[in-house]
Amino acid sequence: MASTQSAPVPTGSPVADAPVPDEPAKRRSAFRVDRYATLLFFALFFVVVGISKGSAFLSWDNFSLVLADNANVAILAAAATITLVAGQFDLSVGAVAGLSSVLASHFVIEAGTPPLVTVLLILALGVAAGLLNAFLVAVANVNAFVATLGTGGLFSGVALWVSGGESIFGEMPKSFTDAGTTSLAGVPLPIVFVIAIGLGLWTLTRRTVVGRFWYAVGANPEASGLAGVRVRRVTTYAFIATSVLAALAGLLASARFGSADPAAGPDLLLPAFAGAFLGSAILSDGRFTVVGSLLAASLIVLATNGLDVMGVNFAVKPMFNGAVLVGAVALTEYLRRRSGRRSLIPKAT
Amino acid sequence: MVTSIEHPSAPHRDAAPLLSIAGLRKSFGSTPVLRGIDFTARAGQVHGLLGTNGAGKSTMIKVLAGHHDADAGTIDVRDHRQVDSVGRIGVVHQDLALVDALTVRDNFHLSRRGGLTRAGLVDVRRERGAVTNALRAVNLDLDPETPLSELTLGTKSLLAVARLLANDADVLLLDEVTAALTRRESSWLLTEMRRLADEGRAVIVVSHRLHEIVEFCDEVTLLRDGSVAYAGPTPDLRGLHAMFESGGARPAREAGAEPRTGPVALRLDTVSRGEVGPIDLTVRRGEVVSVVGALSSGLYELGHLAAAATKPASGRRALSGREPGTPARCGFVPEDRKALGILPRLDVAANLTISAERRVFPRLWAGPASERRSVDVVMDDLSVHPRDPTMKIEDLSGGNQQKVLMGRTQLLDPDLLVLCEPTRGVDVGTRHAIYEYIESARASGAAILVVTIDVDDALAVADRVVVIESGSITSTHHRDEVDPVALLEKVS
Repeated sequence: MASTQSAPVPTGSPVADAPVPDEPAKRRSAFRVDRYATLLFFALFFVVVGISKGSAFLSWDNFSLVLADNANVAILAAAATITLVAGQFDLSVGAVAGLSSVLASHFVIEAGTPPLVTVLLILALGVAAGLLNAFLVAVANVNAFVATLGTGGLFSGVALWVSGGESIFGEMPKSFTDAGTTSLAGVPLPIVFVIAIGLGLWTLTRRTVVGRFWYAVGANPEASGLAGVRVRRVTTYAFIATSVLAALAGLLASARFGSADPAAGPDLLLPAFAGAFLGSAILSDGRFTVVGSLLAASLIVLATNGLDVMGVNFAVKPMFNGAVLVGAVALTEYLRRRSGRRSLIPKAT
Repeated sequence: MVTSIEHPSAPHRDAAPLLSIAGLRKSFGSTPVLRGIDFTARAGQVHGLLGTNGAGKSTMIKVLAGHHDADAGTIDVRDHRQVDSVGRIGVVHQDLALVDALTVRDNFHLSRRGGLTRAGLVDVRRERGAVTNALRAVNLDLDPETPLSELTLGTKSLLAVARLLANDADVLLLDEVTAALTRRESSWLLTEMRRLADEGRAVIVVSHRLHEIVEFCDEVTLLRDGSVAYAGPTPDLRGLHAMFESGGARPAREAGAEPRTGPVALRLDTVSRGEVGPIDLTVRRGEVVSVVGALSSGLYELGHLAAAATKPASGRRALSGREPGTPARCGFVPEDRKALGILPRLDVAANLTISAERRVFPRLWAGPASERRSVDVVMDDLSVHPRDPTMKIEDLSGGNQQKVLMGRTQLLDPDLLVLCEPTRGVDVGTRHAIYEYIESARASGAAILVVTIDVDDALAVADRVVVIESGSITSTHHRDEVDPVALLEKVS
């Protein structure tokens, strides 16, 4: 047997640590330039439209009108963001908003339901839709992409059925339409609602345990589960929050316009997701944030209004939204690869 | 019974070097991982590459496999038939890079070259011939159309080797491939590797099973903290073991210290699930029990069952809290830090507090002030570096990520701690910090279960060592009665 001493003969000489260039710092500064480039693009576009069209575009009157008309898009972007934070997709948000708008109009116009009861019913609809999605995803383990694509079809179908495929018009109680059309200190109420929802959701996601858990489950569901987080329950809360917000978006739209179009819901999906992803790309390092989504969605609706004012064909609008969505994801993924981090965007399949 | 094995004097000491590494350096951020490695593997030689976790082995292999670029140093590979020309190095990783859902032939042609084609279509007949030929080189007789899922792990690993041979590898590197194999399979694989070396190739084997190293390797190189600590003929088993010990990886605790154990905290009563069980196991308060076993022994499944991370199919798990009626808390550090441990992209503070949210934030409101206080305490206790709770977790080194996972359990003030591979991939300093954490948790009355394939780890902290083989507990040893060498034999 060899003695213990004879064996180890050091041959390699340990060397003092060589100074290493501070790479992370360099990366971080490059990061910012890319992000601001996107914001700069929007700013330039606004300036160009502003110069050529003047106050028809670049004025408080126009901006507040556009933002109030599209408050439902901003709320829907925030709605989609909650499930994205928790690592899931909810493609049914547009359909839930559409159904909620149709039902709200149906209740107040055709059934004569008092406005307050209508609001409660719509909130209940949001909870029910969220529970259905959560059941499919968290209990039956159906991929969220597939599950919510399917339930979206269901919700759209119910909206068509209730409305008979026609837009719902008619006399609405003043207290109901006031919520969508009056102003508070010169700010249209829908914008006030968006700001209030933004503050509330910021608190919910960044200052409560549930919000923490959403981010944790979105970052690594297995690890969160092993660390003691009740993943199923937390995911369920996320789907409920998303659907309730989507329902509120639909409610606000019907109060604003005094009518409901059963086909409008699904068209809201693209700008909502574009807002969520653009917000994650330009206002944080690829992490989904509710406030980022609200701001980005507002940027997008203002830019689309800019296209309208410039007289661009209305068919360009969905193309623009699609380009923003894909561009935002490409930018996020590019930044992520350069910083060597894992993607936070939930996998669709 | 362990006997020292007389090793024949290495026959190929003067043969041509097929792999020569000189002055290899690599740092990640400001952490040097390889500090100037010199390494030579010769034709006809089976060379053991050794080192504890964090010594730099896997980084060195990743550089050789082309996954990382070196910061400095040279790597020279020669053709084993014609030493003047440049050769190829082939690496078999532990996961074998094979796809279970495909057939042997499909897997065989999953390489950069793609398959054998004619007019743009896969030439099935030629591919089958190529597979059969390559398999013959490792004495495998298999139908090329066999689904991979029907093969044993031993056969799969030989298949992975055959694939390298078909791609003209001159230097073959097996990266802990034997760890998941049974002893018989592993010795089958290594016998084939010996033969491939005798044909003039160079074979490098990375293994934690020291008896394999002694039996099959002509020479060994031992890495320690990114430098070569030993390079030369293979010593015998005790010599090898001593080499590891002198790395300072051994006990944090004085031998013979009286265990101060309390009542039983964790009780597993004929628990079983899948291939594991039935298991009976108790851990008392103030007691550290180590479970050691081979990778395929089901030890991590046992760890997950003990932590109630999985539910047993039958049997009962009971964990009692400090006082009757209060809920018992279990802290768990899983074996796979990256997949099961960290919450990527979240900051260190969020990663620390996730298990204990309700303790740290008793109300709905997660106030930054209360969070900061508890996070600060833990980061100081475990000396997490850099001491910045707002850093993203993945920007920390592996060792510091591990400290954060330990801190996660500390915040919980657990009744039971289940730690799977607590020191995997950490350096010697962190290893000691983790041993100290285990010791302080024990002293504060937690019951602790350490689950590891690393015998050094198991012995360093344990009052009792439990050996698991093929899903069952086969023996239990008091810490003073353990023969480390015998234990090593058992777990491999």
